[in-house]
Amino acid sequence: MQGSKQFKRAILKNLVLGLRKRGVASRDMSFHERKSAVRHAADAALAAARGTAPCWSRSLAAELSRGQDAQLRPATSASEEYTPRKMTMCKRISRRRRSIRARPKSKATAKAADVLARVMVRRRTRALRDIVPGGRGMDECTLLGETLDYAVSLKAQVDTMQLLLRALQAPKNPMLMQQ
Amino acid sequence: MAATPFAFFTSPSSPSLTQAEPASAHAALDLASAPRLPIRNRHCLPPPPPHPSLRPNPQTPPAPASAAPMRHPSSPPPPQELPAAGAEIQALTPSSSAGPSSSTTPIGGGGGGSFTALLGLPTSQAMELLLPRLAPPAPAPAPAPAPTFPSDPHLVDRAARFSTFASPSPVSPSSPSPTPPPPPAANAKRKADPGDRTSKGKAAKKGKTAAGADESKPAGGGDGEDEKPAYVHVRARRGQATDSHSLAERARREKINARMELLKELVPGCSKVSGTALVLDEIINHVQSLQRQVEYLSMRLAAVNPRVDFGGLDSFLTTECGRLAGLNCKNGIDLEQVTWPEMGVHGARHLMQLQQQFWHGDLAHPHQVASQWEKRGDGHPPVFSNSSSSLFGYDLTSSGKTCMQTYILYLTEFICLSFTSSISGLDHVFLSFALSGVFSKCTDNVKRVL
Repeated sequence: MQGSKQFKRAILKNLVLGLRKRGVASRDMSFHERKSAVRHAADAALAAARGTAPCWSRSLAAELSRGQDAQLRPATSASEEYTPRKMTMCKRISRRRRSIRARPKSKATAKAADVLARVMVRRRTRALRDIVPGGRGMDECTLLGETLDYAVSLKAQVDTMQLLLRALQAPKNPMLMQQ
Repeated sequence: MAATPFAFFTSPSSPSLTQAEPASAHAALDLASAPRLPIRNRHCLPPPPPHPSLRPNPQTPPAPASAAPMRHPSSPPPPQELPAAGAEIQALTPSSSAGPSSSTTPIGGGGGGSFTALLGLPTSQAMELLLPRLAPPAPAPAPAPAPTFPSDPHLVDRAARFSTFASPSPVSPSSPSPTPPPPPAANAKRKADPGDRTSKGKAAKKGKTAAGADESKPAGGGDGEDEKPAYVHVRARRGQATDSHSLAERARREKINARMELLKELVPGCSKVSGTALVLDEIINHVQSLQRQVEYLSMRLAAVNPRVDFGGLDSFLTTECGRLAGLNCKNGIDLEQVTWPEMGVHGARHLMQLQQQFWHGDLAHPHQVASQWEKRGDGHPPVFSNSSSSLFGYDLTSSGKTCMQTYILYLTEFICLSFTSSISGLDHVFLSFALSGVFSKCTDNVKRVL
């Protein structure tokens, strides 16, 4: 993606700095801890690169700093619980949707259909609030805007991490050879 | 600063659109055919992409003709932001992937519509108009100032909306006089949309004030922009209720619909879906898949990590970034301990090539990557890059995958990669176990065993 090169560069720089600062390269961490450390660093890099303007980046940064304190205690990976709950919610929504689609709509049930549509939308908005960081305190309209911004930034983060990954994996041999 | 909310209506167009190309016509068409934001008629919109025959909108075909002469006079205030943002829009639409060659070619045509019109606003100004500046929270590991906001079309678009609500009053006077930069462009791009009764569009009027009397003029008219400060005016549509409540409700609904439109254009495969709930479904799936990709990539980065000397790596990454972007943050200074100074040139070149490749290319182009690797004579990277690119490309473009499918995809890809990469035997066995442990949450058992 060509867009927002500066943003991606900022993310990359933040990510590398963050990883270095956390001492991720040290060997005394288990793989699991290292993975969560990398993820935290990536999220922090994203939030920092994005700035304070959107609501989600502030909430994300707040969550991360809260998570830092929680990490001192051997807390169970809260973020691991985070995904399955949303997965189940998503599955529930799609299952309901399939069951709802099967029902034939008649004119008599037009009003019921409206109510149903509203319920469906409300359920999905709730799911979206869970997904987007900081989505709890937002109204529908801001939520959509934040989702937009968040999705774009996530895409940039993913691209940046892929780039970093390839940069780390591929040219290592020539680098070492030249030393 | 009052003029800035409307600056974006006018400034953007030329640079982003002058670079429209036929290759991007499809993407542009997609964007153009999607319902436009109800932007005011009188504001200059970017000229539609150069496929007048295909475009269903009543936008003026002579725009492409005017686009050509405007190519040169374009001296856009935010030069790189617009192309970047426009390119982002291009890249984001599903059909833009159909034009791989246009990856480096700009943009703009895509803009066609409304939100590239909003791109012109320099993001810094947009941010200033946005939510009040809070003291940036200090995420622990990131001392980087990150001065520039991303040139994000959607963000700027939202900024426009926010800004309009933040500064209601002086907005209106500036609107009748479209701001200078492309005056001929403005004329060419005026949207001849007689059907658009809601003259305010997103321009920033909330119909929530006590000026109900003014608002209740029935449709008919052109854009009578009321210029009373401190009132936000809404033009009532024909045959619709005109009390303030319903107007406010309507304004809110229009806001939400506009955002939904943007989201539909962002998420691949969403434009065919009709209905808010289904679109939201797709959006949720998309965001969740992105989050899962981040998880997966962080896992892979963690796997690679022990072999990486981040100290040296980030120093030349920073120098590269610094050289490229001209950033002079203090982080570049305190990373003086360059571990590989003499090979910096060669390695930098590699990384530069990599960067350019990934930032200009697309993941779905394994042949480019393969050629890059072959230049250096590496044996296995073509394998992994091909498989990963193909897998990723496939995965990213399909929005219908379920969670489990994506996980399985990642797992298989990871296993392929681990076999072809240089991870040692024990390590990759461990990693495979760890990966399965993530799914079944028995990582502790795994660690105990190993």
